[in-house]
Formats: sequence, structure tokens, C-alpha cells
Amino acid sequence: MLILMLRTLLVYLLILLAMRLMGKRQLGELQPAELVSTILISNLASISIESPELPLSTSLVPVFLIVALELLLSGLCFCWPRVARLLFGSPVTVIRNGKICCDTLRALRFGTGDLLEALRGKEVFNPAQVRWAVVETNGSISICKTGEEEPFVPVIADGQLLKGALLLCKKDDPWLSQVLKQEDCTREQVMLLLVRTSGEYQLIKKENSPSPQKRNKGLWKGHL
Amino acid sequence: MNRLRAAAVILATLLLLTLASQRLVSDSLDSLETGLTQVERLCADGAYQTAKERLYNITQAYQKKQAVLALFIRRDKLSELETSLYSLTAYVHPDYRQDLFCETGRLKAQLNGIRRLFFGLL
Repeated sequence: MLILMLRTLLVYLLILLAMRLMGKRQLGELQPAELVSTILISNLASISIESPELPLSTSLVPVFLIVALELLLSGLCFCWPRVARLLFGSPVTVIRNGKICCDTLRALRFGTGDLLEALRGKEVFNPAQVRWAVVETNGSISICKTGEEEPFVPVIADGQLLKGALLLCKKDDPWLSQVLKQEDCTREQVMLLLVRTSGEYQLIKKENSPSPQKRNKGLWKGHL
Repeated sequence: MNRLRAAAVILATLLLLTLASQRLVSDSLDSLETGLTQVERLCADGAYQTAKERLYNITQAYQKKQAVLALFIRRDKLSELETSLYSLTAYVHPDYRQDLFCETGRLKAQLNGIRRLFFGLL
């Protein structure tokens, strides 16, 4: 019994360490790869608790292999956004100016009932009240209601032009070149460019980003 | 990026652990199998006392390694192997020669089972 308790304690602490290593992303809404790793880890952790005859390495080695792969995969996605798009997909517009994009819904295998349910979750009971609704890569839906301020569309993120974003805010390449020239920077120097159809934009350059946060007696303090 | 470094360290540790375990298990099982073959040969030649000593040495060596082997192999399989090794001594006698060969054959089959359990992919 004591051994069982010690094994459980050891597995608990190591899984806690593993989840801490995977970071805060794992604790919020999950991406498909993160969901897979979380399910696998929970199952693997129970193996060595349930079966005392099995060595601890039977579950701990696969758990830490999954953690390492998950970390490497997230690093890969950070360095190459194309990998992230391939693995997690891209956010998809399902309602634009109160009109439901039926083809997109069909491609997502999202029924009208599912869409209405998701909208009700956001306290919207009529799709006509929605200016813009996007199904995020984790399956959740984000909406902007009519009457609210027009949302910004991300056009450049981490120096990369987002596919179809210019079209979405009714802008073109010459407009983008003009903005970049006006701001005196190249596309690679842009951390984030948010644009509205009205032409209003917000540009955040990479050098203007805050310095890394430092831990100070348990509190996180950002230094600009 | 610190987490990426942690991932690399974890992967390197797991790789080292895997290589070490492969070596340890393979060497332990090989030495056991070789020892059993030697015992069979000694008994066939009629050197029962030497065979008994050899068997004692094999059992002692296995017991020393058992704790480390338990990190990688199921404890119940290791205990079965230990019991079989202990019972083998009783058969090292001219009257039980055929029984000894039968028991060593069974032990070798057990060793093969453990080898498959550890090295088998499917």
C-alpha cells in the first residue's frame, strides 16, 4: 500500500511537471495535437498506478516523450507558421454581415443547429445580428455583433502575410506596400498589422515589442 | 525557447535511457542463456559439481541485476524467472538429467518470451 501511494505521488508530481513544461496553452482550450497529448498522458499516467507489477518507466518514458514532442512541435509551429496551419488549420469565417457562409459550414461539417448553438453560447439568438463570426482552430466561435465597433483583421503576423486577409478587409497589395512605405518598414519587420475595411490600421513593429517579462516575488511584471 | 531546450534535454535523456536499457536487458538475457547452455553441457559431460557451481553463479549474478532490470521489465516476469532458476539446482543430478534438460529448455523459452516482450515492436 505504501509503495502504491509512493508510486501515485511520484507519477502525480512528474505529470504535474510535464503539464507545467507544456505551458499555459495546455490548460486553456486545446488544439487537436494538444488534446491528443493530454488524453494520452492521462491514460499513460494511470497505467503505472493501476498495475504495480509494471515498471514506472512503462508510463513515464512515453509521457515525457509526448511532452518533448509537444514542445518541439510548438517550437516548430512558432518558427514556421505553415507547419502550424498544416497541423492546426486556420480560423474560418462562417458569418459575414449577417449572412451565413453555407459552403464553409458544409466544409467544416458544422450543421446550422451547431452554429446556432455556438451563437446562443455567445448570447446571440439571430445570425442577422452578427457582423462577423469566425470558427477558431480550437473549434470555438468568436463573434462581432452588428452595432459593435468593426473588428480589426490581422493582415501580417510575425512578418508573414496572412492568406486571404487582405481580401477580407477589401484591400490589395499596392495598399499594403503604401502602408509599409508610410511606416518606413519592411513586411519582415512587422510583428502585427491589423486592418479595418475603412482603411484604419494598427501596426506594431518587432522592435517596439515589450522586453521579456521578469518574475518578481511570484508576480509577473512587464517592462516596456 | 527555454522550453525547447528542456524538450531537447528530455529527448536526449530518453534516448540515453533507451540505449542503456537495451544494452542492459540484452546483456543480462544473453549471459543467462549462455550460462544455461554451459550448465547443460557440463551435465552432459557428467561434471555435476561444476554445473552446480555455475548455476549458483548465474543465480547470484541475476539477483544482483534484478533490481535494475525491474526498471524496464515487468516484476512478475522477473520473479517467474528467478523461481525457475532456483528450482533448477534440484535437477543437477545424474538421475534427473532429462528433467534438467527439459527445465533449462523451459527457462530458455521464458527468456525468449521476455526478449520478445522488451524488444518486440508489435
